[in-house]
Amino acid sequence: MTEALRVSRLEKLYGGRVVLRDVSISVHHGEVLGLIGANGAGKTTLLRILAGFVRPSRGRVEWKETGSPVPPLSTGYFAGAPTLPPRVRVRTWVRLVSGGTASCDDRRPIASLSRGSRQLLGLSTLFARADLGVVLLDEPWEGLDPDASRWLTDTVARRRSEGMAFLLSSHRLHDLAGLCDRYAFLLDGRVILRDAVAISPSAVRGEDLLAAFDRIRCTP
Amino acid sequence: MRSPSAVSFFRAVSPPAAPLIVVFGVLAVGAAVLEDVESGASDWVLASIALVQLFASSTGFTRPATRGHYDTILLGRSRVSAALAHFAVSAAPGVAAWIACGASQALATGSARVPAFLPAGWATILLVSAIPWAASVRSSPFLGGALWLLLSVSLVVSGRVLGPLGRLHAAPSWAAEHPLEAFGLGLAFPVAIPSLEWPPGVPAAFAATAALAVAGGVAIVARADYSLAEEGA
Repeated sequence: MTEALRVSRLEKLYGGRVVLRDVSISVHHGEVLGLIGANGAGKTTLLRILAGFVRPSRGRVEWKETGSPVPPLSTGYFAGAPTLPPRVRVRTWVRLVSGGTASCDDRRPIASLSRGSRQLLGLSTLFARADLGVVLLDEPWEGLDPDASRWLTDTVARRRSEGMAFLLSSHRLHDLAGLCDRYAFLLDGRVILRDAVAISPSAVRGEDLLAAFDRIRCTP
Repeated sequence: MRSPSAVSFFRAVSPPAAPLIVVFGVLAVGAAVLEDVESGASDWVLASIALVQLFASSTGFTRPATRGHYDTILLGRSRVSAALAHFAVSAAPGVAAWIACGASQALATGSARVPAFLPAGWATILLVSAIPWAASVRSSPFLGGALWLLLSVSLVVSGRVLGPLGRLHAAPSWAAEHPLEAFGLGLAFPVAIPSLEWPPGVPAAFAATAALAVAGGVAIVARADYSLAEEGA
Protein backbone atom coordinates (compact mmCIF):
# COMPACT_ATOMS: atom_id res chain seq x y z
CA MET A 1 0.00 0.00 0.00
CA THR A 2 1.37 3.43 -0.91
CA GLU A 3 1.56 6.10 1.71
CA ALA A 4 -0.88 9.00 1.24
CA LEU A 5 -0.04 11.06 4.27
CA ARG A 6 2.59 11.13 7.01
CA VAL A 7 2.45 13.05 10.27
CA SER A 8 5.64 13.40 12.33
CA ARG A 9 5.95 14.53 15.94
CA LEU A 10 2.94 16.80 15.72
CA GLU A 11 2.14 19.09 18.61
CA LYS A 12 -0.69 21.57 19.08
CA LEU A 13 -1.15 24.00 21.93
CA TYR A 14 -4.15 26.26 22.50
CA GLY A 15 -2.86 29.00 24.75
CA GLY A 16 -0.83 27.01 27.26
CA ARG A 17 -2.96 23.87 26.95
CA VAL A 18 -1.41 20.94 25.09
CA VAL A 19 -4.03 19.30 22.87
CA LEU A 20 -1.76 17.07 20.80
CA ARG A 21 1.76 15.97 21.67
CA ASP A 22 4.29 14.00 19.68
CA VAL A 23 1.67 12.57 17.31
CA SER A 24 3.15 10.46 14.50
CA ILE A 25 0.89 8.52 12.15
CA SER A 26 0.70 7.61 8.49
CA VAL A 27 -2.30 6.80 6.30
CA HIS A 28 -2.04 4.53 3.27
CA HIS A 29 -4.14 4.13 0.16
CA GLY A 30 -6.48 1.16 0.46
CA GLU A 31 -6.59 1.50 4.24
CA VAL A 32 -9.07 2.67 6.86
CA LEU A 33 -7.48 4.13 10.00
CA GLY A 34 -9.88 4.59 12.92
CA LEU A 35 -9.29 7.41 15.38
CA ILE A 36 -10.62 6.75 18.88
CA GLY A 37 -10.49 8.99 21.93
CA ALA A 38 -12.48 10.64 24.67
CA ASN A 39 -14.25 13.99 24.22
CA GLY A 40 -11.64 16.74 24.01
CA ALA A 41 -8.85 14.27 23.24
CA GLY A 42 -7.90 16.23 20.11
CA LYS A 43 -9.46 14.12 17.35
CA THR A 44 -11.15 17.05 15.60
CA THR A 45 -8.05 19.21 16.01
CA LEU A 46 -5.88 16.49 14.46
CA LEU A 47 -8.23 16.12 11.48
CA ARG A 48 -8.35 19.90 10.95
CA ILE A 49 -4.57 20.11 11.07
CA LEU A 50 -4.37 17.38 8.42
CA ALA A 51 -6.93 19.25 6.31
CA GLY A 52 -4.79 22.41 6.54
CA PHE A 53 -7.34 24.49 8.46
CA VAL A 54 -5.24 24.66 11.62
CA ARG A 55 -1.48 25.05 11.86
CA PRO A 56 0.41 22.74 14.21
CA SER A 57 2.52 24.32 16.94
CA ARG A 58 5.32 21.87 16.14
CA GLY A 59 5.89 18.88 13.90
CA ARG A 60 5.24 18.15 10.28
CA VAL A 61 2.40 17.03 8.04
CA GLU A 62 3.35 15.75 4.61
CA TRP A 63 0.81 14.86 1.95
CA LYS A 64 2.63 12.64 -0.52
CA GLU A 65 0.77 13.97 -3.57
CA THR A 66 1.70 17.61 -2.91
CA GLY A 67 4.89 17.02 -0.92
CA SER A 68 3.70 19.68 1.52
CA PRO A 69 1.28 20.21 4.44
CA VAL A 70 -1.34 21.36 1.90
CA PRO A 71 -3.71 18.51 1.06
CA PRO A 72 -4.30 17.71 -2.61
CA LEU A 73 -7.61 18.74 -4.20
CA SER A 74 -8.55 15.06 -4.27
CA THR A 75 -8.92 15.12 -0.47
CA GLY A 76 -12.39 14.87 1.03
CA TYR A 77 -13.24 16.17 4.49
CA PHE A 78 -16.52 16.30 6.37
CA ALA A 79 -16.85 17.35 10.00
CA GLY A 80 -20.56 16.76 10.46
CA ALA A 81 -24.00 18.28 9.89
CA PRO A 82 -23.33 21.55 11.81
CA THR A 83 -20.60 22.48 9.30
CA LEU A 84 -23.04 22.66 6.39
CA PRO A 85 -24.06 26.27 5.64
CA PRO A 86 -27.66 26.43 6.88
CA ARG A 87 -29.13 28.95 4.43
CA VAL A 88 -27.90 27.27 1.26
CA ARG A 89 -30.48 25.25 -0.65
CA VAL A 90 -29.94 21.51 -0.80
CA ARG A 91 -29.75 21.38 -4.59
CA THR A 92 -27.21 24.22 -4.66
CA TRP A 93 -25.02 22.41 -2.14
CA VAL A 94 -25.20 19.15 -4.07
CA ARG A 95 -24.19 20.95 -7.27
CA LEU A 96 -21.34 22.83 -5.56
CA VAL A 97 -19.75 19.95 -3.67
CA SER A 98 -20.25 17.17 -6.18
CA GLY A 99 -18.81 19.38 -8.91
CA GLY A 100 -21.83 18.74 -11.10
CA THR A 101 -21.62 14.93 -10.94
CA ALA A 102 -24.77 14.75 -8.81
CA SER A 103 -28.04 16.65 -8.96
CA CYS A 104 -31.08 17.06 -6.78
CA ASP A 105 -34.37 18.97 -7.01
CA ASP A 106 -34.74 19.73 -3.30
CA ARG A 107 -35.12 23.52 -2.97
CA ARG A 108 -35.29 23.55 0.83
CA PRO A 109 -32.56 25.32 2.81
CA ILE A 110 -30.20 22.92 4.56
CA ALA A 111 -31.32 24.27 7.96
CA SER A 112 -34.82 22.84 7.39
CA LEU A 113 -33.50 19.25 7.24
CA SER A 114 -33.24 16.99 10.27
CA ARG A 115 -29.77 16.45 11.69
CA GLY A 116 -29.56 12.95 10.26
CA SER A 117 -30.65 14.17 6.83
CA ARG A 118 -28.04 16.93 6.91
CA GLN A 119 -25.38 14.38 7.91
CA LEU A 120 -26.42 12.12 5.06
CA LEU A 121 -26.45 15.07 2.65
CA GLY A 122 -22.88 16.00 3.61
CA LEU A 123 -21.62 12.45 3.24
CA SER A 124 -23.49 11.57 0.04
CA THR A 125 -22.40 14.74 -1.77
CA LEU A 126 -18.82 14.08 -0.67
CA PHE A 127 -18.90 10.51 -1.97
CA ALA A 128 -20.50 11.69 -5.23
CA ARG A 129 -17.12 13.18 -6.11
CA ALA A 130 -15.25 11.01 -8.58
CA ASP A 131 -11.78 12.33 -7.77
CA LEU A 132 -11.44 11.35 -4.10
CA GLY A 133 -8.07 9.96 -2.99
CA VAL A 134 -8.01 10.46 0.77
CA VAL A 135 -11.07 11.06 2.96
CA LEU A 136 -11.05 12.51 6.48
CA LEU A 137 -14.34 12.04 8.35
CA ASP A 138 -15.12 13.38 11.82
CA GLU A 139 -17.91 11.43 13.57
CA PRO A 140 -19.45 10.35 10.26
CA TRP A 141 -22.11 8.01 11.78
CA GLU A 142 -23.45 10.74 14.07
CA GLY A 143 -27.22 11.12 13.59
CA LEU A 144 -27.53 8.52 10.83
CA ASP A 145 -30.40 6.04 10.92
CA PRO A 146 -29.64 2.28 10.59
CA ASP A 147 -30.02 2.25 6.80
CA ALA A 148 -27.81 5.29 6.33
CA SER A 149 -25.24 3.85 8.79
CA ARG A 150 -25.09 0.65 6.77
CA TRP A 151 -24.79 2.64 3.53
CA LEU A 152 -21.84 4.58 4.99
CA THR A 153 -20.07 1.46 6.23
CA ASP A 154 -20.56 -0.29 2.89
CA THR A 155 -19.42 2.79 0.95
CA VAL A 156 -16.23 3.15 3.00
CA ALA A 157 -15.43 -0.56 2.58
CA ARG A 158 -16.07 -0.44 -1.18
CA ARG A 159 -14.07 2.75 -1.78
CA ARG A 160 -11.21 1.35 0.31
CA SER A 161 -11.08 -1.68 -1.96
CA GLU A 162 -10.79 0.79 -4.87
CA GLY A 163 -7.66 2.26 -3.24
CA MET A 164 -9.06 5.19 -1.29
CA ALA A 165 -7.48 6.07 2.07
CA PHE A 166 -9.68 6.87 5.09
CA LEU A 167 -9.07 8.44 8.46
CA LEU A 168 -12.27 8.14 10.51
CA SER A 169 -12.85 9.59 13.93
CA SER A 170 -15.80 8.14 15.83
CA HIS A 171 -17.16 7.39 19.29
CA ARG A 172 -19.33 4.67 17.80
CA LEU A 173 -16.92 1.78 18.34
CA HIS A 174 -19.29 -0.85 16.95
CA ASP A 175 -19.32 1.05 13.64
CA LEU A 176 -15.54 1.38 13.52
CA ALA A 177 -15.04 -2.26 14.55
CA GLY A 178 -14.59 -4.60 11.64
CA LEU A 179 -14.16 -1.74 9.20
CA CYS A 180 -10.73 -0.37 10.15
CA ASP A 181 -7.37 -1.91 9.32
CA ARG A 182 -5.64 -0.01 12.09
CA TYR A 183 -6.76 1.99 15.09
CA ALA A 184 -5.18 5.14 16.55
CA PHE A 185 -6.12 5.69 20.20
CA LEU A 186 -5.76 9.33 21.30
CA LEU A 187 -5.00 9.61 24.99
CA ASP A 188 -3.79 12.77 26.73
CA GLY A 189 -2.83 14.18 23.34
CA ARG A 190 -0.70 11.16 22.41
CA VAL A 191 -1.48 8.55 19.79
CA ILE A 192 -1.12 4.81 20.39
CA LEU A 193 -1.46 2.75 17.22
CA ARG A 194 -2.79 -0.80 17.10
CA ASP A 195 -3.31 -3.11 14.12
CA ALA A 196 -6.74 -4.71 13.93
CA VAL A 197 -5.08 -8.13 14.16
CA ALA A 198 -3.30 -7.16 17.35
CA ILE A 199 -6.62 -6.22 18.96
CA SER A 200 -8.37 -9.39 17.88
CA PRO A 201 -7.07 -12.16 15.59
CA SER A 202 -10.60 -12.63 14.28
CA ALA A 203 -13.04 -9.86 13.34
CA VAL A 204 -12.75 -6.89 15.72
CA ARG A 205 -15.94 -6.15 17.66
CA GLY A 206 -16.89 -3.00 19.54
CA GLU A 207 -16.20 -4.77 22.86
CA ASP A 208 -12.66 -5.58 21.66
CA LEU A 209 -12.01 -1.92 20.92
CA LEU A 210 -13.35 -0.85 24.30
CA ALA A 211 -11.16 -3.45 26.03
CA ALA A 212 -8.12 -2.31 24.02
CA PHE A 213 -8.84 1.32 24.94
CA ASP A 214 -9.12 0.35 28.63
CA ARG A 215 -5.83 -1.56 28.49
CA ILE A 216 -4.08 1.44 26.93
CA ARG A 217 -5.56 3.80 29.52
CA CYS A 218 -4.41 1.57 32.38
CA THR A 219 -0.89 1.18 31.02
CA PRO A 220 1.44 3.64 32.75
CA MET B 1 -14.91 16.49 -11.94
CA ARG B 2 -15.10 20.27 -12.07
CA SER B 3 -14.49 21.94 -8.70
CA PRO B 4 -16.62 24.97 -7.86
CA SER B 5 -14.85 28.29 -8.34
CA ALA B 6 -14.34 30.28 -5.17
CA VAL B 7 -16.56 33.04 -6.54
CA SER B 8 -19.49 30.70 -7.29
CA PHE B 9 -19.01 29.06 -3.88
CA PHE B 10 -19.18 32.32 -1.95
CA ARG B 11 -22.08 33.58 -4.10
CA ALA B 12 -24.04 30.55 -2.98
CA VAL B 13 -22.83 30.21 0.61
CA SER B 14 -22.07 33.75 1.75
CA PRO B 15 -23.88 36.31 -0.41
CA PRO B 16 -24.38 39.90 0.79
CA ALA B 17 -27.65 40.37 2.70
CA ALA B 18 -30.67 40.14 0.37
CA PRO B 19 -32.38 43.33 1.68
CA LEU B 20 -29.26 45.34 0.88
CA ILE B 21 -29.21 43.94 -2.66
CA VAL B 22 -32.83 45.04 -3.04
CA VAL B 23 -31.86 48.53 -1.82
CA PHE B 24 -29.06 48.66 -4.41
CA GLY B 25 -31.56 47.68 -7.09
CA VAL B 26 -34.00 50.39 -6.00
CA LEU B 27 -31.20 53.01 -5.95
CA ALA B 28 -29.97 52.01 -9.42
CA VAL B 29 -33.49 52.16 -10.88
CA GLY B 30 -34.15 55.42 -9.01
CA ALA B 31 -31.00 56.97 -10.49
CA ALA B 32 -32.12 56.01 -14.00
CA VAL B 33 -35.58 57.55 -13.46
CA LEU B 34 -34.13 60.75 -11.95
CA GLU B 35 -31.66 61.15 -14.81
CA ASP B 36 -34.50 60.66 -17.29
CA VAL B 37 -36.43 63.49 -15.63
CA GLU B 38 -33.48 65.85 -15.22
CA SER B 39 -29.83 65.38 -16.08
CA GLY B 40 -27.61 65.42 -12.97
CA ALA B 41 -30.51 64.90 -10.58
CA SER B 42 -29.16 61.57 -9.33
CA ASP B 43 -25.78 62.73 -7.96
CA TRP B 44 -26.96 62.18 -4.37
CA VAL B 45 -27.73 58.53 -5.22
CA LEU B 46 -23.98 57.83 -5.32
CA ALA B 47 -23.72 58.88 -1.68
CA SER B 48 -26.59 56.53 -0.81
CA ILE B 49 -24.95 53.63 -2.65
CA ALA B 50 -21.68 54.34 -0.83
CA LEU B 51 -23.52 54.41 2.49
CA VAL B 52 -25.27 51.07 1.87
CA GLN B 53 -22.03 49.56 0.58
CA LEU B 54 -20.41 50.21 3.97
CA PHE B 55 -22.72 47.51 5.33
CA ALA B 56 -23.12 45.28 2.28
CA SER B 57 -19.39 44.59 2.03
CA SER B 58 -19.02 43.96 5.79
CA THR B 59 -19.76 40.28 5.38
CA GLY B 60 -17.30 38.67 7.82
CA PHE B 61 -15.11 35.65 7.05
CA THR B 62 -13.69 34.05 10.18
CA ARG B 63 -16.99 33.33 11.92
CA PRO B 64 -18.49 31.12 9.16
CA ALA B 65 -15.06 29.63 8.52
CA THR B 66 -14.76 28.49 12.14
CA ARG B 67 -18.20 26.91 11.88
CA GLY B 68 -16.90 24.81 8.99
CA HIS B 69 -19.11 26.49 6.37
CA TYR B 70 -16.10 27.24 4.15
CA ASP B 71 -14.34 23.88 4.61
CA THR B 72 -15.17 22.81 1.06
CA ILE B 73 -13.55 25.82 -0.56
CA LEU B 74 -10.57 26.14 1.81
CA LEU B 75 -9.51 22.48 1.61
CA GLY B 76 -6.36 22.23 -0.48
CA ARG B 77 -6.86 25.65 -2.06
CA SER B 78 -5.08 28.97 -1.92
CA ARG B 79 -6.46 31.03 0.92
CA VAL B 80 -5.40 34.19 -0.89
CA SER B 81 -7.63 33.30 -3.86
CA ALA B 82 -10.46 32.41 -1.48
CA ALA B 83 -10.13 35.75 0.34
CA LEU B 84 -10.06 37.74 -2.90
CA ALA B 85 -13.10 35.85 -4.18
CA HIS B 86 -14.90 36.53 -0.88
CA PHE B 87 -14.10 40.26 -1.21
CA ALA B 88 -15.26 40.30 -4.84
CA VAL B 89 -18.58 38.64 -3.97
CA SER B 90 -19.10 40.97 -0.99
CA ALA B 91 -18.42 44.10 -3.04
CA ALA B 92 -20.11 43.08 -6.31
CA PRO B 93 -23.73 44.26 -5.70
CA GLY B 94 -22.63 47.73 -4.59
CA VAL B 95 -20.15 48.07 -7.44
CA ALA B 96 -22.84 46.96 -9.91
CA ALA B 97 -25.26 49.57 -8.54
CA TRP B 98 -22.50 52.21 -8.76
CA ILE B 99 -21.81 51.34 -12.40
CA ALA B 100 -25.54 51.31 -13.22
CA CYS B 101 -25.98 54.73 -11.63
CA GLY B 102 -22.93 56.07 -13.47
CA ALA B 103 -24.21 54.62 -16.74
CA SER B 104 -27.55 56.41 -16.25
CA GLN B 105 -25.70 59.67 -15.65
CA ALA B 106 -23.44 59.13 -18.66
CA LEU B 107 -26.41 58.39 -20.92
CA ALA B 108 -28.25 61.49 -19.70
CA THR B 109 -25.27 63.82 -20.15
CA GLY B 110 -23.83 62.14 -23.22
CA SER B 111 -20.43 62.04 -21.57
CA ALA B 112 -18.47 59.47 -19.57
CA ARG B 113 -17.11 62.23 -17.33
CA VAL B 114 -19.74 61.81 -14.63
CA PRO B 115 -18.98 61.69 -10.87
CA ALA B 116 -19.30 57.90 -10.65
CA PHE B 117 -16.69 57.33 -13.34
CA LEU B 118 -14.18 60.02 -12.35
CA PRO B 119 -11.10 58.85 -10.38
CA ALA B 120 -12.64 60.12 -7.15
CA GLY B 121 -15.80 58.15 -7.87
CA TRP B 122 -13.95 54.88 -8.45
CA ALA B 123 -11.81 55.56 -5.37
CA THR B 124 -14.98 56.05 -3.31
CA ILE B 125 -16.59 52.75 -4.21
CA LEU B 126 -13.23 51.00 -3.70
CA LEU B 127 -12.80 52.59 -0.26
CA VAL B 128 -16.30 51.85 1.00
CA SER B 129 -15.99 48.27 -0.27
CA ALA B 130 -12.49 47.46 0.92
CA ILE B 131 -12.18 48.95 4.39
CA PRO B 132 -15.46 47.57 5.84
CA TRP B 133 -14.72 44.16 4.29
CA ALA B 134 -11.23 44.06 5.81
CA ALA B 135 -12.46 45.38 9.16
CA SER B 136 -15.13 42.66 9.28
CA VAL B 137 -12.96 39.68 8.32
CA ARG B 138 -12.53 38.63 11.96
CA SER B 139 -15.75 40.09 13.34
CA SER B 140 -19.50 40.01 12.92
CA PRO B 141 -21.16 41.05 9.68
CA PHE B 142 -21.92 44.79 9.40
CA LEU B 143 -19.44 45.69 12.16
CA GLY B 144 -16.92 47.37 9.82
CA GLY B 145 -19.61 49.52 8.24
CA ALA B 146 -21.23 50.34 11.56
CA LEU B 147 -17.93 51.50 13.07
CA TRP B 148 -17.09 53.69 10.08
CA LEU B 149 -20.56 55.24 10.08
CA LEU B 150 -20.30 55.85 13.81
CA LEU B 151 -16.96 57.61 13.28
CA SER B 152 -18.39 59.76 10.48
CA VAL B 153 -21.48 60.72 12.46
CA SER B 154 -19.39 61.49 15.55
CA LEU B 155 -17.10 63.76 13.54
CA VAL B 156 -20.06 65.53 11.93
CA VAL B 157 -21.74 66.04 15.29
CA SER B 158 -18.50 67.36 16.79
CA GLY B 159 -18.33 69.95 14.00
CA ARG B 160 -14.90 68.81 12.76
CA VAL B 161 -16.02 67.75 9.30
CA LEU B 162 -18.69 70.08 8.00
CA GLY B 163 -16.51 73.22 8.10
CA PRO B 164 -13.64 71.78 6.08
CA LEU B 165 -16.12 70.08 3.73
CA GLY B 166 -17.75 73.46 3.08
CA ARG B 167 -14.34 75.02 2.41
CA LEU B 168 -13.46 72.21 0.01
CA HIS B 169 -16.79 72.58 -1.77
CA ALA B 170 -16.40 76.35 -2.11
CA ALA B 171 -12.72 76.31 -3.09
CA PRO B 172 -11.50 73.01 -4.63
CA SER B 173 -7.94 74.41 -4.63
CA TRP B 174 -7.98 73.98 -0.83
CA ALA B 175 -7.39 70.23 -1.31
CA ALA B 176 -4.29 70.87 -3.44
CA GLU B 177 -2.91 73.18 -0.74
CA HIS B 178 -3.77 70.82 2.11
CA PRO B 179 -3.60 67.30 0.60
CA LEU B 180 -3.19 65.48 3.92
CA GLU B 181 -6.15 67.22 5.51
CA ALA B 182 -8.19 66.60 2.35
CA PHE B 183 -7.25 62.91 2.47
CA GLY B 184 -8.29 62.66 6.11
CA LEU B 185 -11.51 64.48 5.35
CA GLY B 186 -12.33 61.99 2.59
CA LEU B 187 -11.68 59.04 4.91
CA ALA B 188 -13.79 60.62 7.65
CA PHE B 189 -16.73 61.26 5.33
CA PRO B 190 -16.34 59.00 2.29
CA VAL B 191 -19.89 59.42 0.98
CA ALA B 192 -19.03 63.04 0.11
CA ILE B 193 -15.99 62.18 -2.02
CA PRO B 194 -17.74 61.86 -5.42
CA SER B 195 -19.46 65.23 -5.10
CA LEU B 196 -16.21 67.13 -4.55
CA GLU B 197 -13.28 68.08 -6.78
CA TRP B 198 -9.92 66.60 -5.87
CA PRO B 199 -6.35 67.10 -7.06
CA PRO B 200 -5.08 63.97 -8.87
CA GLY B 201 -2.99 62.62 -6.00
CA VAL B 202 -5.81 62.37 -3.45
CA PRO B 203 -8.04 59.85 -5.30
CA ALA B 204 -4.87 57.80 -5.93
CA ALA B 205 -4.20 57.86 -2.17
CA PHE B 206 -7.78 56.72 -1.50
CA ALA B 207 -7.33 53.84 -3.98
CA ALA B 208 -3.98 52.89 -2.41
CA THR B 209 -5.61 52.89 1.03
CA ALA B 210 -8.35 50.59 -0.28
CA ALA B 211 -5.73 48.26 -1.79
CA LEU B 212 -3.84 48.19 1.53
CA ALA B 213 -7.06 47.33 3.35
CA VAL B 214 -7.77 44.43 0.98
CA ALA B 215 -4.18 43.21 1.39
CA GLY B 216 -4.58 43.34 5.16
CA GLY B 217 -7.85 41.41 5.03
CA VAL B 218 -6.33 38.80 2.73
CA ALA B 219 -3.35 38.43 5.08
CA ILE B 220 -5.70 37.85 8.04
CA VAL B 221 -7.60 35.17 6.10
CA ALA B 222 -4.36 33.52 4.97
CA ARG B 223 -2.78 33.37 8.43
CA ALA B 224 -5.79 32.46 10.56
CA ASP B 225 -6.43 29.10 12.21
CA TYR B 226 -9.88 27.71 11.49
CA SER B 227 -10.55 25.46 14.46
CA LEU B 228 -14.19 24.52 14.77
CA ALA B 229 -15.89 27.02 17.06
CA GLU B 230 -16.04 24.74 20.11
CA GLU B 231 -12.39 23.69 19.83
CA GLY B 232 -9.67 25.49 21.72
CA ALA B 233 -12.23 27.75 23.38
